[in-house]
Amino acid sequence: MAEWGHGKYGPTGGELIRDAFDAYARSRLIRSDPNSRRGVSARLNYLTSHRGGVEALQAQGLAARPRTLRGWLAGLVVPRRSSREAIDRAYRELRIRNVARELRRRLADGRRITVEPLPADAVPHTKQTRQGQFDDREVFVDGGTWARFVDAWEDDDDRYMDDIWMDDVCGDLGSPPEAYYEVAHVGFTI
Amino acid sequence: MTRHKPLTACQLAELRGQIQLDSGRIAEIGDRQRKLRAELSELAGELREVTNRRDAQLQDARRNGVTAEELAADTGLTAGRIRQIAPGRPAAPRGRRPGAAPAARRRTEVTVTVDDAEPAEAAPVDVHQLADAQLLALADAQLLELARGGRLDVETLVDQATAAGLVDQAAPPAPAAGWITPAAPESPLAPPKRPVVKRPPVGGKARLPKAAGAWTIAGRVDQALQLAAGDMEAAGELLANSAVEDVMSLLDQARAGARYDYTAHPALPAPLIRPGRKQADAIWEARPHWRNPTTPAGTVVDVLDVNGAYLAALRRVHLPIGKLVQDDDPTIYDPKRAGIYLVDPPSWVAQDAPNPLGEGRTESGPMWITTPTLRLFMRAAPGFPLRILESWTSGASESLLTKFGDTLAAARMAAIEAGDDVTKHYVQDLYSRFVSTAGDSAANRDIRRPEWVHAIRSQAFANLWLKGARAATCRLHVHAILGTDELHVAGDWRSALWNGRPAFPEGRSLSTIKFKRSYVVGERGEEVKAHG
Repeated sequence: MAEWGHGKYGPTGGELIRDAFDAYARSRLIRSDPNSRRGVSARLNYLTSHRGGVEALQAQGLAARPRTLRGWLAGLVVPRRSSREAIDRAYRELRIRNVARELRRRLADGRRITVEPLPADAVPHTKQTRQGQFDDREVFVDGGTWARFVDAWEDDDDRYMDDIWMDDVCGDLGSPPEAYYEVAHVGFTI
Repeated sequence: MTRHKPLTACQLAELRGQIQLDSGRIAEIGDRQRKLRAELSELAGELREVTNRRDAQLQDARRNGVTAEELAADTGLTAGRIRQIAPGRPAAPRGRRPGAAPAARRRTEVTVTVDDAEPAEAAPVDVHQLADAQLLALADAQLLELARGGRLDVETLVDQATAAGLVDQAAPPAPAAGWITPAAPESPLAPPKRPVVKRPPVGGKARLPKAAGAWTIAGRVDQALQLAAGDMEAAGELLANSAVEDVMSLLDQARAGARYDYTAHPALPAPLIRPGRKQADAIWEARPHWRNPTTPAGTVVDVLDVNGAYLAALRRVHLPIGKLVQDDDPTIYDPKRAGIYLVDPPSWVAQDAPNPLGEGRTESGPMWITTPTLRLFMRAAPGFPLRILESWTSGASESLLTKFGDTLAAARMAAIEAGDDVTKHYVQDLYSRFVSTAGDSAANRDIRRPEWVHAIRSQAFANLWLKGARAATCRLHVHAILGTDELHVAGDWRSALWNGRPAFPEGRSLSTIKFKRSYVVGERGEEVKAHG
């Protein structure tokens, strides 16, 4: 695998873990349209009932007075387009932060993950039996490494996730570690 | 940024060149970021070192009489900050809340008594000019010296400290004088370490500590009863809450000497992926729900209950070992492989037997079934060619969970015979939680194989169908097959023989059935009244 790391052979382990975290976050994020009444009130509800919500709104430049906020929440007043976008951004920021905290908590004890390497000739099969070939490997990823993955995901830093995958996980998978940089599948339960 | 005018070839080439340059620049920036991060952490370390050095020097200077204002001029900090870093005299205690316990500044006032009143060899130090940490270190060093020199009377020391109210009455008693030998350890009077109490997670349920090493079900139940101080309900709750962890650990133990290692989190094909959080996947488990329309009214029907249906099923079921792979030629069934199959179900016309492919399906057209259902159909209708349109399979083993199931079955029988309810419910929790969480469930993080769950359930339903078939062969009238484990027959099933042996032996083991109750069939096939 002379040219690993350029996406030539397939997705990297870091990318797949990022996809898994994204899927988890998507299941937590509000799905309704940020411009609809329902979407606005759902987002405001979250922001006002969770810690850090008001600060997130202020950080987006929304200096809404309590009266305005109450009007929005009651559905009597429709916020301007720029305010709606700011509310959506504030909501996403706070939600992703909380989802990352939840991920760190869940993954704190470490997980055994199943890795399926790409079927290139350089990667040897592990189990070859009458029933066929089973190429999967299992490796234990500890809580500290998961915390770094979650930090990198929160910062939206794909290259750092790839680095953590390469440095911390690939070494335990097999030799040479470059062969496991790009994998076909990474399986774990969050 | 949308352009409505299409670009010329020349502009396009330029744009692509620009994209390449920008991508290169992004990679460069990423590399530089990483280098800067590494540098930053090095600098942080250096900063810590130099700051500590400067603080020590400040303290030296203060001790030797330099005023805070002069040092402030040297360093650029304010005089107040200098006094904080390097106090001349110990700072007066800040206002304490009334009723609060006095602050712990015990060591500043301990005097060291020496047996024959010889002064210590170290130069006299004014203890009031030292910071607390340095004082502790000095006190330790002096005590160590005295201890080594054999001139320390620990008992007097402790008495003095107790008299001054400085020693906690609940502290462990002073060690005997004989423990101080010429080769004393480095830190003689280090404070005893408080035991680390691992708190359970906030809002989590009470559960047993993780099972370590080789453990038995009986041992675990004993542990739970001990922790719950004999209260059976509390012990039952503890066991129920740790059931999922325990059963995965048991599975690990049972697979210890196995030939093939199963894949815990394989990539799943589309039919096994649930479309939403509360929606089911596309697999049909063929659950039987059938009542015989030809039963004459007034027949007395006995309800026979199968024991431990899921446990019996998981002991002998064709399970795929590795990742499911789509077959090139699905039309032929390979008995060495197991998985899921897309079949075209025929319409079932027989009135006096249930459909092996289950009842109650509202959609029409091809459906996804698992290996046990397919094998049941091939056994029930041997001549009928079932069309398999697609299949996802892997190499199979029928005894993947046999040792695991045998352990659980043995524990279950022992508990039933001994009348031990706690163990019986624990074993039931173990295998039922396994079957319900081995699929796509967040409650079980060690395995995600929904095809196993569907296969085990389908095997249980297939076993029930086969029991009905056995009853029919013994000339009993089968009235209904319901749920996971209920078989309703009319006739003398107690004396029915199958290959020379009783067809339906009664008992509580997995190969016997339990008689539940009887009822009388009414006009339209329903139950009329409870009978005897």
